[in-house]
Amino acid sequence: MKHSMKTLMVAAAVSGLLSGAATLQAATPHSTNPVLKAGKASFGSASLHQDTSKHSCKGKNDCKGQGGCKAGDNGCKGKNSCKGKGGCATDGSKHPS
Amino acid sequence: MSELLELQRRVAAAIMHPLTRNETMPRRRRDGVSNTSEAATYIKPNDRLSSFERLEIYNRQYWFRLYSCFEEDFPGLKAVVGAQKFELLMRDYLTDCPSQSFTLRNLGSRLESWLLEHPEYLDPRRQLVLDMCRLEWAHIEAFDEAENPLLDADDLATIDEHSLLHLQPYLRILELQYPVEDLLIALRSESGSGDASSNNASAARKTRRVRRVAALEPEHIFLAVHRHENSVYYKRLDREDYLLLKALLSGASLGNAIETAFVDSVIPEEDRGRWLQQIFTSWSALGWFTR
Amino acid sequence: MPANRFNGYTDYGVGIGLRIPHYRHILTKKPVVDWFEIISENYMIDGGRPLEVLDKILDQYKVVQHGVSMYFGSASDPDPEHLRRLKQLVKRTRTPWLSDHLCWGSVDGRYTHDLLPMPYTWEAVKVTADRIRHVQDFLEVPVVVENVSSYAEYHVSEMTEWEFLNEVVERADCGILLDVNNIYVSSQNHGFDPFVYVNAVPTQRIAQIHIAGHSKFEKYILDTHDHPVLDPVWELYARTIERTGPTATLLEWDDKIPSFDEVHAEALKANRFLQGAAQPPSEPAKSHELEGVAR
Repeated sequence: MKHSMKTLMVAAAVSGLLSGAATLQAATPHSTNPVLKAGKASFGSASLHQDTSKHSCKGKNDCKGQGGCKAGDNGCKGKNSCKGKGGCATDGSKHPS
Repeated sequence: MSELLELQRRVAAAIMHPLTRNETMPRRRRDGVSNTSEAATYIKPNDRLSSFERLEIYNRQYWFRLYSCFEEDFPGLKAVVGAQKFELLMRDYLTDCPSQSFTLRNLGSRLESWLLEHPEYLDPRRQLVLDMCRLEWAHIEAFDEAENPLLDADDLATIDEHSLLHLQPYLRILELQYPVEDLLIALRSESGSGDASSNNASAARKTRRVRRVAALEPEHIFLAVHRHENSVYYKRLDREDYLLLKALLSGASLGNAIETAFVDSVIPEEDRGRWLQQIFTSWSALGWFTR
Repeated sequence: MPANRFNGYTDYGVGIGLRIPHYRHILTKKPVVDWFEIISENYMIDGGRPLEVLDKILDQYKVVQHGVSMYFGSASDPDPEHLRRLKQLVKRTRTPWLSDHLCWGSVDGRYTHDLLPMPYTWEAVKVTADRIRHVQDFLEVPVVVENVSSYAEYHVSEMTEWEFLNEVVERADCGILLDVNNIYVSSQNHGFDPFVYVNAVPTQRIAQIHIAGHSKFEKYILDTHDHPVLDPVWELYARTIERTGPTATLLEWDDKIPSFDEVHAEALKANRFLQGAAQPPSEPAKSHELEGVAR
């Protein structure tokens, strides 16, 4: 690229930078300014749904295992929270080793 | 060696050893060690549980906790490799790459490099699996990486072709062979809708998921995974956008990055100034440039 | 003894754990809550929505940090990056005290992300107390340690759990976060009298109390934090408050989380005991006090 062309290109980029910075400064939170084309919201719509927190100090007792209960433990019986998630895997259908 | 350290190493080895297919602690480990006799040497039995059973509670908790975090981080990967294979993938990855961080947020940090060494989990749609893994890890990073202060008027006034423009730490750019972001958004929309407690609804969702993955055609795309008002967004990029951002991220000056972007470009020379102005306006308005 | 040096001489009432399903309710309805406890690790990050929400909460509420991965009892050294990030968060929240568990969970740089029980040995007392002192010195904030629920005991143990706790906190000169639900869970799993435990703990070191729900299985009890507080746990709480006087109390609810109002109402049941104990604590009390074991 010739130097004069490069200078022009850089000038165009800087002009864009300034223009964008001004837009950003003028924008209020949750602005619908058309310049702010952020793309597709990763969860379809931007919302609290994407919040996650991984840490707690509970004993792990989710549907994947009922916290250590085994097929024969009464503790597992009567639980219905696993519906739709594949059950409690007491049939040996998971984790071929 | 201290007795405490020795005990903790032995207990950790038992707890972090993979479960059986029935999600129980194996009687014998892969290295031949008997968990029954090992547990008996350091765990007291009580009137209800043997030493083995007490240790098993921790063995199972360890895996359930990690599986649940990993599944939450990689739902797209689960969809593209299939639920059954994903179970094996989780087990093998987490066995080879146990957490080395105080936070579970980093559980998948070594997944892409691990997958590259385990083609059995990539086939038959190698590129699709890798693309989804990259996207989902980029999402995790974009979600909570730092947001640095924006350029101020003084910074902007001094920019020339030799300037090094810094980009937000949360910005990730990807070159992908599949439009995996569309697939991931669709999968998330499906899993977030409907009655999760109904087996029929769950089966229907699974069928839709399988069809969606099977129907996905290759498409060479460039993507920015970034954050706007603390939500993660996927923004399609042109090839030139991608090359320019990649050059800036690798430390090229503004002038050199622009030159790199236009190598083999189809954008006519007379349009390039306007094009540059537009993209820099957009990226600057999104707050991607920082001090 | 509500305010003491282990809780930064604060006089907090009844709080609840800050959990994501309640974010919207808290930020929009601004309910009156004495204080929130946060899980430190969920906010030891560089940016994004978790910190944005935390800052909004900090603007309006008192917040105390509770950690789950310091692993005071791990034989390996603490991760400097963990400590650096934790200190950064301490500066942000200005937490009057900071708690984590009397347990181990990592070895040789590998993390189990579980709260694993300690062997109650003299070597473990020393290692754990040294580590607590190190962390407390580094963070420059009072550190209090929480007793965990456990499902296993070791042959090598040389003392009871409460004796171990007492030795550690004396040597580390730190406070105690007494989780009465954990005491109950462990008492059922290991067959000891939970009141003996409660009565043996030095009241002057108790900075905070945890209450929570648990799940009973056929052969053991699991600390699931997915239920209201059960009566035997309230009884232990009552006895603790009887000994200590009103003390900062926190309800943990981490799974199958109901509405904010339901969780808060459950926590506020603690007021029944706190209000009754508004007078200075009476010592000694109750016959089961005499069963207490102290070294």
